[in-house]
Amino acid sequence: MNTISRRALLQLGLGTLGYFSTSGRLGRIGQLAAQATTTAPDYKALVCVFLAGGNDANNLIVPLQTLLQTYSAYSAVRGTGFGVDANQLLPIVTRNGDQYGLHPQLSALAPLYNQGDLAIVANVGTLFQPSTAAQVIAGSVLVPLNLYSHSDQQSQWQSAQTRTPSASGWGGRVADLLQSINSAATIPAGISLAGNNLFLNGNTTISGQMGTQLLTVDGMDSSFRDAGQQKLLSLSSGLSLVQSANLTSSQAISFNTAVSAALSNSTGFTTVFPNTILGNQLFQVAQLIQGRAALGVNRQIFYVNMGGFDLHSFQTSNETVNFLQLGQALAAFYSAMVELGTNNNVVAFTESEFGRTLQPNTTGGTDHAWGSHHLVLGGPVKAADIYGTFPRLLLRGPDDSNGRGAWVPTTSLDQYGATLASWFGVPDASLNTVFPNLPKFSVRNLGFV
Amino acid sequence: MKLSMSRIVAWMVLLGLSQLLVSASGASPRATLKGFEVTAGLPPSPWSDPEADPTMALNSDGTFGMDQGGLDATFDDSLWAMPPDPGTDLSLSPGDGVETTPLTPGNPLSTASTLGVPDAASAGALLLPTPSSAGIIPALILVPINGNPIPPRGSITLSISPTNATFKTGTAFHFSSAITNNFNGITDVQWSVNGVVDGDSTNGLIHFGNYNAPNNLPPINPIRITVASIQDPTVTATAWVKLTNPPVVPPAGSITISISPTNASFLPGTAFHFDSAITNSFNGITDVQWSVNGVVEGDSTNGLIHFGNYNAPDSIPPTNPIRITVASIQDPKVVATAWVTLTNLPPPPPVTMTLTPTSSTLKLGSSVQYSRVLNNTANWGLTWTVNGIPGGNASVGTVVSNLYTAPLVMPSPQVVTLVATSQADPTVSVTATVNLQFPFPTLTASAPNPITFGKHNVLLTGTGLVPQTVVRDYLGTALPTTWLSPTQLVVTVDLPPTLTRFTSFQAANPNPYLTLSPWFNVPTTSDGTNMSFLAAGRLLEQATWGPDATNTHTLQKFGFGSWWSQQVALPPSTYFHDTNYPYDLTAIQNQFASNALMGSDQLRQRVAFALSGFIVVSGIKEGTGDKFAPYYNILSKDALGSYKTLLTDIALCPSMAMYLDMADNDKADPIAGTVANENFARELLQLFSVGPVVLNSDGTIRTDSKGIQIPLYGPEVIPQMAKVFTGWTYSGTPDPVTGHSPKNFDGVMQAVEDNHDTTAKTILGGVALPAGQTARQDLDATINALVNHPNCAPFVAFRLIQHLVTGNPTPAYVQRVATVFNQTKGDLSAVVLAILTDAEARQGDNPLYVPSTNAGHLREPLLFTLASIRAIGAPPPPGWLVSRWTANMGQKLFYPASVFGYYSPYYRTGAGLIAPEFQTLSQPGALYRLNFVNSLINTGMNGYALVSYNNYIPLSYDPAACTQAIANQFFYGRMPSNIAAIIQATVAGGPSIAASIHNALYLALTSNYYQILK
Repeated sequence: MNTISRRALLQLGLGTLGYFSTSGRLGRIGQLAAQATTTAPDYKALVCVFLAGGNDANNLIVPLQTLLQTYSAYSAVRGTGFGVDANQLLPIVTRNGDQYGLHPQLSALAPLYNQGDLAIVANVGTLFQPSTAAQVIAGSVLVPLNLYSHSDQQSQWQSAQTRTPSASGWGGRVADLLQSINSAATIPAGISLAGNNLFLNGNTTISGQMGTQLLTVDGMDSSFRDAGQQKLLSLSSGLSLVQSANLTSSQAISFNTAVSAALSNSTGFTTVFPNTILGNQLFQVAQLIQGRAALGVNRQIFYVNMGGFDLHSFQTSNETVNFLQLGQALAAFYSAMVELGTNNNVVAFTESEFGRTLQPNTTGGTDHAWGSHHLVLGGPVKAADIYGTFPRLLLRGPDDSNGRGAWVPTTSLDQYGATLASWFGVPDASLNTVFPNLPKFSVRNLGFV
Repeated sequence: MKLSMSRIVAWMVLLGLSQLLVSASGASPRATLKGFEVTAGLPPSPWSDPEADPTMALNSDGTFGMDQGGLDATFDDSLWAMPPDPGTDLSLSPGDGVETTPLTPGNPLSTASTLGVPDAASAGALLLPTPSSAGIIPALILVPINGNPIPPRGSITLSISPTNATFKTGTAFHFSSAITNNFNGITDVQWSVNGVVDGDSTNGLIHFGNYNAPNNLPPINPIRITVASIQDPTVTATAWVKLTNPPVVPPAGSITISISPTNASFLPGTAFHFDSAITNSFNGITDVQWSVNGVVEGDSTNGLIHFGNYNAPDSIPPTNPIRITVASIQDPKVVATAWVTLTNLPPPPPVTMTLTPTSSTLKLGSSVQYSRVLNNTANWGLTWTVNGIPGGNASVGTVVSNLYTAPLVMPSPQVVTLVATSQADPTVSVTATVNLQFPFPTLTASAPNPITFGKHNVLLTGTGLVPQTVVRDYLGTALPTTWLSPTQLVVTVDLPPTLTRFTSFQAANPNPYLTLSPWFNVPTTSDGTNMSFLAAGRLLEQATWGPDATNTHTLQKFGFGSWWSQQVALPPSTYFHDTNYPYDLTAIQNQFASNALMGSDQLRQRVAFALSGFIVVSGIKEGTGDKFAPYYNILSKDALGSYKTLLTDIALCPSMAMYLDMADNDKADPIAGTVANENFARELLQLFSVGPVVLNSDGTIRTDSKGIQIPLYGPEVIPQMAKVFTGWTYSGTPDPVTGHSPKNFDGVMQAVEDNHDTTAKTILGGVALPAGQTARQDLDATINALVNHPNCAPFVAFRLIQHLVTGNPTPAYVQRVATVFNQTKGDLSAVVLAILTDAEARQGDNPLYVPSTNAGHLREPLLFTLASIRAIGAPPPPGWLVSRWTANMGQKLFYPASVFGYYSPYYRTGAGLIAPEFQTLSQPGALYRLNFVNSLINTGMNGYALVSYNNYIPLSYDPAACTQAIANQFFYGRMPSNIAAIIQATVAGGPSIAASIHNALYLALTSNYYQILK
């Protein structure tokens, strides 16, 4: 803990308001606090890598030879001109011997799978309740609202709420529960490298945000000015929006001050991060993890974002770039964690609002779909495997909700997130708070970490 | 009644005194001039001792009698008359004559008229005529009628020579006389002395003019010698004799003399006065003669004396003491003596004076207090002159109590000379000079106040104003000035509209060096009365890229209706590909910023940008000018037109066709296993027209009994609508096999019917499109169905209200606007007009209105940057630079992250309030907002938008006025007092003028009270 910077923050009048709770859930906090006091808090970090636009995971991981299906099931729908050639796929093997191929541009990730630090969770998606395609088509189950809508499905992936709007995200709710473990922190547990997002919004905590470079508050002869600004930010206006903006400004100044101080002595990494949007964000995440001691944090949740996945046309060429960037950035991040010795403390995982139709459209792309496959990266991964149930790649098959290959998820987002949260330290008793739908699913922990 | 005796005597002489006496003493006394009290006077004697005035009175028996003898003078009868009381009863004897004449100065008797002669029979009363109205009293002259003939006046002349003579007693002296007689030739004369014919022993005897003076001085001296005509005794000539006696020795004691002081001691060279007193009962001669040591009038050795003023010699003479004597001239033996002892005692120390300051510099109208020290005297009193004028005057300044107060207007020369003279010793004086300077001027009041924009004469009141005073504005420009007085002058100003609504004056006085008044700041105002400053500012925040001075003034002057009509009629700004920027949207960004900052069609551009918030094409995919410009031109063109036209144009726009993959979107290919692309169809529904859930007509989201939103369409609708938008390719010549044209953004999309899915479709709301329709027919029918769908009006209304007015409109507000949308079949100009004129939009125009807690919306980064640049009046920076800043704030111009635009209409703050623009406000974004303002204020965006804050320099000396100017410039006068207090303290506390201004502006623009539009 950096007491000096902490005191400076308090003197700035920003204090801890916002990310140190003042209300609610004392029981659970007490529970966690008790846990924290009995064992010295270790360090853990979750990194949510959001693939915005709806990633076509049908091309991320392709069955080559499995118990249920072969590559032909894939190629029969995707066709030879659109799908990935079998001989280009990077073969991996599951624990039960099934053979799959990773997209060829993910070559940086294949070794990580093979060394047991990368897991794949198949056909994860938003669900209101356990559902089959037949049930969905029959209308006998309630499904998430506004399926196939980018905005709605992004919100549902981030909030783990599928039929009612939510003001908080599941990452934020996890942060709410872990405040006591982070009591010495000078910054919030949640940090976004990609601006505002629902994922890190807590009910009682506000995440920090930063860009891919540290900022200064510019000015000449500005100390008197900035003192005046602190007074302005502390005024009560009677206007909710002004107060919200004041809170953001105050958070920004305090967070930037703390992070700048902590990272000023960053030693950097031997690992070279790709100079891509995602690479730069993950580099900053790695730096923040490097500065964890100075920041006094024991638990951190990061949010990074990569766009460009909404490929209704010209998918092949664009996807190639996307996967290359994704694989390189994730691999670099893992390498940096090894450098820091935190590779067993940090888990990165992907989210995306939906998968894409297996069936292509007439413009060389795919359309919005539902369940999709996701990646989990880090030392805590228990074994290289494909977790969950891989869908049958068959139009109008047992997993197809609309005849175009929009898979009804076989694993709910709640199960996926709860597994990560559980590893992160959220007690099982609190998981239902974070994931209200979790009780509807019999398996609460998928066991990939 | 007092009569001059001279006149009575003349009258009696004229009549012959004896005759009158005879007449009056006759048997029947008829003269009844009783009641007269008469006085007589004699004509002035040539001598200095005139005889006393004798008096004459009418005796009780009717005769005249003199109370003093010796009435022997002769008189010039022409001067005499008697003016008795009017109405006096003069009872005269027959034969008596009465002559009357008005007696006026210089009117001789020769002009008299004879009133008439009473005869014996009519003897009796004769009434005197009453005086004339002018009050002139008639004179009465009695003339003997029955006596001897009287020669006519002037017919006999007589003279004597000499007429004056002085000689000793006992002397014989001859007087000669000359007589002429034209009456009867008789020239006999008779001589008299003091009226006694031939004289007597007392006064001397005369015979034939030979006069023998008496041996002793007579009692009356001089003596009168008279010669008279025998023929007419009234003709006389007179001479005077003054007799003198031979000298005689005055008797002892008849003359006394004294001197004072009789002893004196003083320094050589001293001037000293002796007094003498002399009496002379002998002959009155009191002349004296002074001597020193017996030498008359003294000498250089022992000192000189004259009239008692003794000047001691400069050194002590051999004989000391020195004798001073004063002697009677009449009797030199009568002497008084005094003794002077000269001593060389040290002289008393001289009076000296010092005066401070002897040289000073003074402003007109101000004062300097002189202090003085006088030695050797207790009397420190001074008398002063200023430029030689005792006490000075208003032109050169005055001295009172040793305090010199300079004049108010500069005299010439500018240096005045003061002389202070000791009252104790007037020979001691000191000269002081005062170098006058023009005063420090001040300006304290203005009439009018506030000053309206335009050209006016303004009366400025202050102090220290002189005819040479120059008044300048904040740019240093000298204003035409007419000096009235030291406290007033008139300047002519020509004020352009500003947002700060202040102007500043400074008075400058000239040499010897420029003296400047403190800045005097005066509020200014628009003369427009159609809208308040606040209302105009708010409207421009809602309908334009932010208030500027010109539009605000125009709105105030001509009102909203006029402004609206003008705006709607303006041709749209256009956007075009610029081959100088072939690789990105720099050119389009530059055009956009130029239009937003400088363009006239502000309303249209603001609405177009609002539409771009939910009808999205992003430069992420359409990243060159040729690809992007068609899209934004449609928004610009259709922003105030029909919504259906807009959607149709957008659907056929090659930018959108590429962005959402409608271009070359062919009907399903069973062989390839492909189906129509859903992208455009889905987003057209979800984002451009109706949204994914059922809306109420007031824009609220309808929910089911469990509070769950109701999907507007099922997943099956999208593939149906995807079929609608098949068969379109770019303009140009399609490839004969594929039916696809090369990418071409110059025209609109063209239908290739072979690629169009002609099967029947059931689209939104169950609308059935029959099989066999052309691509255009299907497209038109679909867009028609969307615009007519009940969701469309509230959908569009809600979004436009959010962009223009408030993030949280009341459902009733949305309903009112949606109703207009429906009534006008989606006429966006009517919709926007309804939005802007709605009571909910305008309620904040009331200065007393307190916004609700949930009011307003955040300025999205582009509105924030552009509005602040407009308000501050900076030259337009290039769009790429604006976009570089806004990108960091979360809104890269024309590069929204996805078709969902820069932000969601349902984004909520942490407090749970819908606030779409907050989605852009990340924490780093908040810091970039700060740094943008810093860049704008401190560096003019690195020189691209440099602003002079010269207008704020005068205001910076008055933190309250400066704060008000900032409140005017950015808040149309409305700034909460707690914010104003902080900004005012910043103005007052800045480390420099520039820092004060910059910091205050920074705080205003970065304050979230500015960031949130209300």
